Amino acid sequence: MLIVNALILAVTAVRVVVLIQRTQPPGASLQDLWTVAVFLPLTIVHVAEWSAALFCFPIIASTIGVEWFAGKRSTFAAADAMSAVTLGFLTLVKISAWPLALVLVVTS
Amino acid sequence: MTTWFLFGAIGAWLAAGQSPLNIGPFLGLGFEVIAGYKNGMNLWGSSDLAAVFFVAAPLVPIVALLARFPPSRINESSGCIVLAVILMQLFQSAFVRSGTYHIISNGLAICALVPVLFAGVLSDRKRVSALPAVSMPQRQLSW
Repeated sequence: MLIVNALILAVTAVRVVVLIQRTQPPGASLQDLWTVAVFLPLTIVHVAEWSAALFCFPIIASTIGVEWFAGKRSTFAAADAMSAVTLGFLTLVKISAWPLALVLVVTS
Repeated sequence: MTTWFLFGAIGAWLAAGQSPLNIGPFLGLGFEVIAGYKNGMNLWGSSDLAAVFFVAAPLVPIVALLARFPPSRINESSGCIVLAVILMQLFQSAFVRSGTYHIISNGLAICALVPVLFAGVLSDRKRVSALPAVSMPQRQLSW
């Protein structure tokens, strides 16, 4: 479970880096800093049953939504495939994400 | 994307040793749980001040995103729907049970989303064009 959690967090971090590369906001060269800014609030979550990995679904989905919003929907890369697989796995784990998963599948 | 999504979901299901025949009952029970959450929200009192801040916090960058990128095409509009559903889901998770730790955990998840939203607002290093978009909802929020 620890390995799966680490993998989910790693994929989410990669997805945030890809978002920064595609959107090119100020400080885009500091991609790691943007990723840390995303993950920092989740380090405060101390309830054992809610690991940070459970919140990776909304983060990954929001990166996808923001890219669509900003017109940065470029070619489908390996990072997109990895994040889609991760979303599929997290859908099994987090029932509350089902409506969002449905919206993502339909709109994609 | 849908193909990879289904690959992840079905692959994880099979890797967990579950029979494909059990997918139907699992979905049925899952939707019952979702309906329970939905019904729980009907009992929620709207006077909770934390809920107001919870909604207001992500609204700032989302309104800024709308100001920066007025959705004109279907692709862009679908991005707006995705973000709205994310926020609704976090709101529901935070307030359907109304426990302090539920509110804090989901509030922190909102905080985690804010850099992602601002990356969109500030895309292509458009600092100048983004500033009015950010300041407008902030001013409305302060009112």
